[in-house]
Amino acid sequence: MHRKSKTAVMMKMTGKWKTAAMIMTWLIIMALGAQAEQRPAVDPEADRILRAMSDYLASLPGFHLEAQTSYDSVLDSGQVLTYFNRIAIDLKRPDRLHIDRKGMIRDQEYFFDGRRLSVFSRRRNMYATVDHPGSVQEMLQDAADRLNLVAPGIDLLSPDVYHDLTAEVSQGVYVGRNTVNGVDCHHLAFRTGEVDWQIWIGAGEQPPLPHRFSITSKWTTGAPRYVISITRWVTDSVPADDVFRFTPPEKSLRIGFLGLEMEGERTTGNSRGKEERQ
Amino acid sequence: MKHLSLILTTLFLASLVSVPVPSWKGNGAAGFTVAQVHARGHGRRVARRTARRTARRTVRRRHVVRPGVVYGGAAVATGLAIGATVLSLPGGCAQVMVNNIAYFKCGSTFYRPMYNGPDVVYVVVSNPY
Repeated sequence: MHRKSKTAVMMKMTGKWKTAAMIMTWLIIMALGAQAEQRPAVDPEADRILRAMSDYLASLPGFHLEAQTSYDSVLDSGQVLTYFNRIAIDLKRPDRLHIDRKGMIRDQEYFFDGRRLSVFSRRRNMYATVDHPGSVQEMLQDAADRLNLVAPGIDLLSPDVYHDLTAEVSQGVYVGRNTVNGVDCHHLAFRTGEVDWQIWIGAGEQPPLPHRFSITSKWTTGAPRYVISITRWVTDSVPADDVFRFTPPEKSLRIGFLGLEMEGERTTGNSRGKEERQ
Repeated sequence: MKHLSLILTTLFLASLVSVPVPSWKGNGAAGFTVAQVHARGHGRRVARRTARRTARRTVRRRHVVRPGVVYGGAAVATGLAIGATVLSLPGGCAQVMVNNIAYFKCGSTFYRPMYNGPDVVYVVVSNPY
């Protein structure tokens, strides 16, 4: 009975059905092909150098760096403007971070002491504070998710830079040796679906520290770039604890975060951030 | 059936195309010149898109805070709806504290300063008194 009806259905497989079946088969083949293509093709030399940098950074209990960042902004007219910022970062693993950034648009400091995150805008003399126990990684993820705050140089602050950077990589090449900010560097270039990125890492006698890192949003008209060029590394000492502590200056005004207000929650905690972190 | 295969094909093709998601999307009017942009001091906000700041997708935003930003500040300060945000205050404002929250009173309009991402914006609020 079943077989009979099945045959009947098969018999009824008219041109349309056949076309559909063919399209489905084609889709499956294409999907398999696309998957095979997505296997990352990373030059072993580039992979080794990137991993060495990541291991070296992870081995540091803390560091201080100074850098110049720039990012492109594409106007509605298509014109590209580049904005520069001077930044300084102090990191003490696992849960202390201080970022100072000075630029035309932003003149701010971020303080994270393992318990709370504070953002202070010097020019306006305003600040906001949110309780946030946890590691730097948890805080950064949560700040990006809930406060729409993406810290500069965030990629290089991870305890596992290699993992974070290569998660979406489809291709990586070793380009060559070049001098960046006076330092002999290996130049590596990687591709992901959405962005291409390049990194210059200390070579030869130099410790394998990143000296320049650039990200190109390749599908955005004008292919805007973000660049962080590190001009100073201090890795032989850990920044003192008071660097990470925020004391509101006199007459400064405490304000809130619109992101938190819109979520309809005034308190802070990171229970949700913990749930979602990877 | 024709429809189904069409839909499947469309879905499949769509899945192949990686759609770039701009990290920040302004709603500024088109046609600003650079001079105007700088005169307003809000170049970044007139921008349509900026470069992504990380090589990975760090932002898994559940609530995209993108309130209607009103340009022109003082010029259009009168008659703003509650909840509208401006990037700078009109002149002649007085800072007031109500229930430990800071406001600016400009004429008869009250603004509450808040961080929208890394930027301070002023949200039009009802009279807090």
